[in-house]
Amino acid sequence: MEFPQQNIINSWLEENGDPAVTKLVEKNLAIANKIHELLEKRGLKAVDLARMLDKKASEISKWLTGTHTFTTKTIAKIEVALGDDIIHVEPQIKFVRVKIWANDEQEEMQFQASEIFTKGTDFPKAS
Amino acid sequence: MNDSEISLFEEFVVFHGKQNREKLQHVLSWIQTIGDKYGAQNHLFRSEAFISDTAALPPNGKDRKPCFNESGEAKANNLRLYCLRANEHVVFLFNGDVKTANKAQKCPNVKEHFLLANQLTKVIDEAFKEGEIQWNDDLTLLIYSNDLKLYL
Repeated sequence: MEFPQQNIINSWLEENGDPAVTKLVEKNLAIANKIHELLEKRGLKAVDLARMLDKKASEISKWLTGTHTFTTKTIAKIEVALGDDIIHVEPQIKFVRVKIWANDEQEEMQFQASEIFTKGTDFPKAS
Repeated sequence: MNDSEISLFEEFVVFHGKQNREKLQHVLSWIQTIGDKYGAQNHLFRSEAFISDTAALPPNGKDRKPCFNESGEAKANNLRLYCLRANEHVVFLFNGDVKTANKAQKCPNVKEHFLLANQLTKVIDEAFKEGEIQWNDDLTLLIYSNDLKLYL
């Protein structure tokens, strides 16, 4: 058996699919997958999360199938229970490029995770 | 199946592409995303075992599932596609229909598909045991004769 280059699923979706539905399904699966990862990382099972949230284990299992459309309220409760964020909507700035003048020489530096702003600096000002 | 020129799954797509277009898209998008990103992990499938290890897509439940809106109201997706999850890389897709009763055996729509999927799962499982269907080295593809026929 060779892996088919074209298959009926991709063909049908290309021709008939609603991009909004595709996006919804992708998001639901991504959230479910993240919850599954967080549970595994902490050595927890669906039944443990059920206990934390006062839900039935069967309901949590169904969440993990990736077909449930979560409300932000439910996501927030899961994030609090597991102590980690499932979704990130804040701007994610990892690198800031700045130019520094020291002793009349210009240097270009890159700071990871914006540490120059979060930790403060004592760079001498250009005169 | 028998002498049909199209597979059970193709019949499913053709029929529900006309009858249940939006529900079908949820199921197909879900399969596509699983195939592209996550693999057929066990927790994504719901057991529909009767005489064998048949599963169904999507998992059952109220107020969830491919959750979509009909007349502005959230509805569960009751379109069932029966399948056999062989491993994370290979899933046999059969046929299905809109489920209208709690138990598949009691639903006039899905009963036939449910029983057939279970029978097919059983003969495929036997073909694996007999070596008529084998795995490739990295367990991502199946190896079988082009003229392989399975009998119910």
